[in-house]
Amino acid sequence: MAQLEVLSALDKAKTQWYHFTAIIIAGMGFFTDAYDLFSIPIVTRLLGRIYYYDPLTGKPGSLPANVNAAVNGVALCGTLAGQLFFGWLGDKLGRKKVYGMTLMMMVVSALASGLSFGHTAASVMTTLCFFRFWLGFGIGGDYPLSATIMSEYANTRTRGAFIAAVFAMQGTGILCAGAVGCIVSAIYNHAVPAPPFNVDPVASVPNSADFVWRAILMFGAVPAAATYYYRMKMPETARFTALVAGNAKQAAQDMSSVLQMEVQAIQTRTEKRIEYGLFSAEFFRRHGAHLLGTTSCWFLLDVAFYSQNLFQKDVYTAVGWLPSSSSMSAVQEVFKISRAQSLIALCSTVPGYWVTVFLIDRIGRFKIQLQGFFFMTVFMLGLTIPYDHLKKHNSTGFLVMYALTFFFANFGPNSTTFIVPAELFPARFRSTCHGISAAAGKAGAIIGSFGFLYAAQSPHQAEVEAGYSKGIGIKNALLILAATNACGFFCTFLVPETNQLSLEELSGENDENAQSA
Amino acid sequence: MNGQRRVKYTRPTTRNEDSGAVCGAWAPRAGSVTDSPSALVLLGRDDEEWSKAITLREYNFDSDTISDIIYSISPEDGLPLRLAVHPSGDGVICFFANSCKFFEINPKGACKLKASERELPLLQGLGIQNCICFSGDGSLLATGGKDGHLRIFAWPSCEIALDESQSHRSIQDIDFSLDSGYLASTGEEGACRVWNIVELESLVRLEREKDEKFGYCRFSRDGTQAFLFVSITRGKRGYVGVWNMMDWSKLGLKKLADASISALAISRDGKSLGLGTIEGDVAVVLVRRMEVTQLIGSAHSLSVTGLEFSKHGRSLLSLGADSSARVSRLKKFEWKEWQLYAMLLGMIAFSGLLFLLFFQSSLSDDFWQFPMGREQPARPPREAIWGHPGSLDESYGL
Repeated sequence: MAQLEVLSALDKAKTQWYHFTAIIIAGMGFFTDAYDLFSIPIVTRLLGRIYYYDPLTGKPGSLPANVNAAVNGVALCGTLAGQLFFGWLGDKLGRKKVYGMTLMMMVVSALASGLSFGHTAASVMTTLCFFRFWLGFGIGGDYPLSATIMSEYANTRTRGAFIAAVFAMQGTGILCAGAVGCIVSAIYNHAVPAPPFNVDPVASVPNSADFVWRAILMFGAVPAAATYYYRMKMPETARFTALVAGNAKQAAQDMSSVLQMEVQAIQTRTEKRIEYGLFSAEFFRRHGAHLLGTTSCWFLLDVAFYSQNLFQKDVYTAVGWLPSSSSMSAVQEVFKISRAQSLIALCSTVPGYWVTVFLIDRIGRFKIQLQGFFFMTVFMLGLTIPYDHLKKHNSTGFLVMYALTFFFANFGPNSTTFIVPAELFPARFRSTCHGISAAAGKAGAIIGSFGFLYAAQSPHQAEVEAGYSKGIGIKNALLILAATNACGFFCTFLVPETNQLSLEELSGENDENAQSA
Repeated sequence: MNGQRRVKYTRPTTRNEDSGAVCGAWAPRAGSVTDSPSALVLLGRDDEEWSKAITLREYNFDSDTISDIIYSISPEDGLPLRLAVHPSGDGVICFFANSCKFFEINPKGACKLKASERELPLLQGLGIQNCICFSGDGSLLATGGKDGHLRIFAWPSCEIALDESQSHRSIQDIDFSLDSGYLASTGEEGACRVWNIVELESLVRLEREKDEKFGYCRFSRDGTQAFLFVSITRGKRGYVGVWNMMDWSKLGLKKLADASISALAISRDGKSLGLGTIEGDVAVVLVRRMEVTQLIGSAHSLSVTGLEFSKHGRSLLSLGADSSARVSRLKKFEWKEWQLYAMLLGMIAFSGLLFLLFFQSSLSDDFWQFPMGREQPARPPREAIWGHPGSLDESYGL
């Protein structure tokens, strides 16, 4: 047999309205992911000022290094676990069922992370970490599922752009995090004006300031909850129904309704298909290199991508948008950080997403990823070698290098590593494999955001920041990052081009069927 | 039984069947590596033309399909009655009505059989053997005669180690323990005896109730649990009893089939038991729970006469009294939907418990390092929200 008709109908379908609604619905997970990722630095500053103010130091409170790492990192750990768990579940129960679960989990835990059990500072922080872990878990589940759903819904011609567009919802999330931060803090400042820290250290943190971080965190649930209904109305993807559950008739029925055309259900499948398992020699032979390629590229990319935390302080100083925190009240600081952060993201990361959306189906994933890693290496080296000079004398040059590195991360591997694993593997473990690749990425993210934070500390004890131990120095850390980018360049060669090919051609499911026919 | 009712009843198909089979065994495929996707099925057949007395077919585990005959051999000794593949996989011993031959499997890497030059004089003329069995390490061969004569030979020298002519009225089944220290035998009269092979003596005769008849015996293959499984017929129903090898006490028994058990097998990892009944059903039992996990109804139209798990326990070869042979793939464990939800809820509850334990332990304060200690309030009193913005509050600790 060649291919089920319903699948080729999907492959050839014209771009329709349902494709766009699918992007929005599927993209909400990424929206929440980015919202969460970018609202937490805002929140951690405020948490520090509320709960960690020590009058003896004469400085505004800030989170100790390990607490900062915990609050930031616990969601990443949750994401990693969620990617593996829900990825696997997506192939067991079907995409749609699990999709509702992940969204519900995100909504509930986003709301709950703004609430606390108990009234002591310790209970606030513990509750926050607990719910942020499960928020991350839900977000993690969204990675493999939204990629898989989008790739299984899309037509062959514009599939790349659709998946990239889902991913680009991250950009919207970043901007929204900034906007919500600004709005909430502006309203609060208006309602409860407070003096700067250096005027009155205690009054600079009004008693009700914790409502600001709670409101910011809880807002993350709103867009997700708004799409819940639409997620529930979405039919199961035709590929899962036809290829995994083995019901071509149901698949045709579902697709007829979304495509608004008649799709014939012809059950041409032979009675028994040759099916190899995930841990079989056959899988290893067919897809082993692919899985190695997708996991390693994503891992290496995220090490570099999430290390942007390293530069954040330098970037703020360079831009000069952020006065010292002593000269602001706690919530003023929230406003300033949200604004600075979203403006920097707008200039460096966000454009890359959309360039990818427009170009991916024209020039292909492989080339985009290759040039992305190449330019990331180049600009990272450009940032590293003259690091001290740039920082002191040429802040414009520093900013340009920084922005370009992250532009090419997004117009490059950050988007393609997300897209390709959703296209390469057979339907019955498509979401598992995407989950594995994504989890490798998150492992890289954890190394990138924390490993390098510690590694970048000065090798001399005197210059080490409070709460950290001696490291290898920022310049060496940056050199390692440049090297990981270069590794990513070479790992890209393990991954084949998927542009303009149907999913069944790519995964070899057509010849699997042909063999047994 | 509960376990049985839940099992999905799988209809037999005509695939993977052969007729005319008398005895059979698994054999490794030539040049196969550890996780080989296929293995050979060796069948001794009652072929009309006598040209295909012993055949080889290839079975593919992934696709669950069996090939046509890829090799056949026809020794002049007549009808092959019993086969046993040596644990090393390099040869098979074959008993005929009154003679015995050893065949090399895959000689020189080709998928075929070759009659060995070794004569095995001590194994000739023993009469009809009901069962033959190699020990796990391949150093011993036991034969159980129709006349009740039990013999143990050292392999490959074929020197006789134990010769017991009056063990049973007629031997029905024998099995070596995992360490080759014991041999269990059952006889047609319904008794089960255990022999100590080191001391070469009869060790114990398992006690049975008046209405019980022992059928077939298998030692556990899991080194941590030293058990002997014996099938029991009681009131025409099939039970499996478990004996402790330490003191040969009976640990318990469980009804696993509605009809008498007529064949018993254990997988190499010791996790599954296979049973066949006189009605032709084949069942797979999970040893850990002693529950039927898979039931192949009417696998054979008459009683099941032989069962053997493949090396990695992925498929089960069964032979019937109707001369049919078939290979059935074992079901892999599948998660049920409620189990997945329960797992997720369990994970949430478990993580909640961990966080709670952490919160209540002294680690918590060391980790958070709050400048003002544990009792620092986090939530301002209600009036503070609406009160004068600049005002100090005592609860703030200042």
